[in-house]
Amino acid sequence: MFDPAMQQITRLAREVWAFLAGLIVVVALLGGLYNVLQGAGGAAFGGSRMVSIAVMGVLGLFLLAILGFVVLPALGGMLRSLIPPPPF
Amino acid sequence: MPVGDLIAALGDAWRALALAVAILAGLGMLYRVLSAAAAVGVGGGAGLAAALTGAAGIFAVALFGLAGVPEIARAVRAGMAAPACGPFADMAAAAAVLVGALGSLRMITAVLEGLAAAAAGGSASLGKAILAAAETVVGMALTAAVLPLIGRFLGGC
Repeated sequence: MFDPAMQQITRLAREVWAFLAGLIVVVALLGGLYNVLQGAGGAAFGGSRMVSIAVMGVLGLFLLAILGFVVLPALGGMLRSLIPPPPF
Repeated sequence: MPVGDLIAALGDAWRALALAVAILAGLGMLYRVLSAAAAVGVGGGAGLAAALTGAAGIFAVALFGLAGVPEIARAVRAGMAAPACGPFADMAAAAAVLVGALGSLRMITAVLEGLAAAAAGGSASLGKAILAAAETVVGMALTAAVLPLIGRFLGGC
């Protein structure tokens, strides 16, 4: 009974997923660029703390991208496999 | 058989809602990762912590909805094995199944409501889902308790 509506919702959700994934790539690239700029500025003026913060920021963005593109699909697959039959 | 058709329709609704829970949880967690990436990009540690705890909260609520709610419904239903006697037995059994089905749908709807709020950036809350679970248990217990009394009152048992 609900299959046509759920197919539309699933198609829409796939598009939203692709949009959010693309947005994560854009934000991570921009954030990485900002951190590189910060690190370069710190290195130019002799600020080692700024450089280390920038390097940690780039590493954090890399880790978050891995979380978004590797861990989250696995978690989503696990949740999908958990969808239970009606308990009544 | 009208009750069977009704149960089948409620089963379809359950499958659709459970799928919606999984979809919303996935999108909500992805949104939180996007928030975390934005926070790290501009050096905001507090935003990162809020985003990661939000994603963990969404996962916990989804896990409760997909793994906990069916178990609660099954446990309550198993506790209502013989809800009535005499000519009221069939009616009481159908009423208990219907109350359980509606209660299960209420629980998964409450989980979906909490997930929708969390996926849109709010806090993930299990309160309404747990209240709905309690209402289901009380409703099925009342069904099992009241119908035998009615049966005795009407001389059916």
